[in-house]
Amino acid sequence: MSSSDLTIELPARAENVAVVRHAVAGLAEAVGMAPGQIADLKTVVTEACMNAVVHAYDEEPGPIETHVHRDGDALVVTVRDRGAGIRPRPDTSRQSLRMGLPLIAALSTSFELSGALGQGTVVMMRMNLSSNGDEPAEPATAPLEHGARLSMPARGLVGPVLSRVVSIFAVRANFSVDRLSDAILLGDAISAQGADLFADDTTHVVVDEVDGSLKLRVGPLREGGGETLLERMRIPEIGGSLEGLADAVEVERDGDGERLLLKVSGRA
Amino acid sequence: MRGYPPGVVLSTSRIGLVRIDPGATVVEIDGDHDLRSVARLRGEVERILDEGAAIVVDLELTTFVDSSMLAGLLDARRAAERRELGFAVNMPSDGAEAVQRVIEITGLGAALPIFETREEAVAAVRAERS
Repeated sequence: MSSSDLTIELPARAENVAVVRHAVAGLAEAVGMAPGQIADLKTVVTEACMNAVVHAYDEEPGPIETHVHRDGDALVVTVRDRGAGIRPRPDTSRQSLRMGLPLIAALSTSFELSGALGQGTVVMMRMNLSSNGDEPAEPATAPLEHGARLSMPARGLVGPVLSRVVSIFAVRANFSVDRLSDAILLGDAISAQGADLFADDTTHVVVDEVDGSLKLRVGPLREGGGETLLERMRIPEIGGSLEGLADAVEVERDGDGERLLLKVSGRA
Repeated sequence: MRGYPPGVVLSTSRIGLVRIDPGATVVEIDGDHDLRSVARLRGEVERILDEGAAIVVDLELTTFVDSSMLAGLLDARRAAERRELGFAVNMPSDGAEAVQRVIEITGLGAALPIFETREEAVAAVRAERS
């Protein structure tokens, strides 16, 4: 337990929520959290505890455990109950606006909700000490307007995942049966022949459908990997070549390595 | 010197009623309020409306409200509307940040008639009555 760890356990009763709220706010003040952040912290802690009070135990007694620890420039608050777990329930009372979770989502830097029927509920909330960290992080890459961007372990997963995703996009693009199997074969072939050519442990694939054709961008491959892959797939034993399956094949190079660009059209 | 050691939390949470005139009552919600206060709020709202009076909820000295209190406020407004009685909230823009934030972030600022001062809120419910 570090100097800023705090654990509070008390019965899940409405009058106890203020105890947790004030205790956590006291710790937040002591570690120099900004006043605006403390205001939000009090709200998220209250909502998480009230959720346990109202939903966890069905009138039976039971505990709420709150744990707070400092993690870098943030406080991480975990509120746990030992109750009935997250259960779908119709809104039979007008007691709440069902705003607890949305408030936690809106005010925390990040949060996680876990639990299962009969195993209690855990709400873990992270609050930055200053509000500077509230700005959403710039996404590393621009968001996609269509298509899909996948990241997966370079070894093992590329084939099984890629061929399924490719087949869905191909069906969506009304591929003929022949072209559909070519597209799936392409996914399998890249993974079978290219496993040792990927530059990182993680392979990124962008799949998109444009005017009845599929476009794939696979990488990063290590230097020369694109050419090697094309070369390997010219070997007759694997049933043709990459160029035979795809309508257009291109190798793109940038600072991060090489990427294979493929286009498959839906009709022969 | 009489006093408490630093850090002691004084429980000053209260719900108080101030009858402005036979047609309007102010409900003062001072301090921290969560699920524990909701039944009391609902009870007072019910009683005031039964008397045929309009309601002004005064949040000037409120330091904290949770989502169940917000639900209570929204229900109070609906109950007043059903009986065609006035309803207004007084919340100064320099009030407690915790209260301002939840009202802003839940969009309740648009759902509740909020006025900067108690006088303005009272004037608004009186105007509804006339």
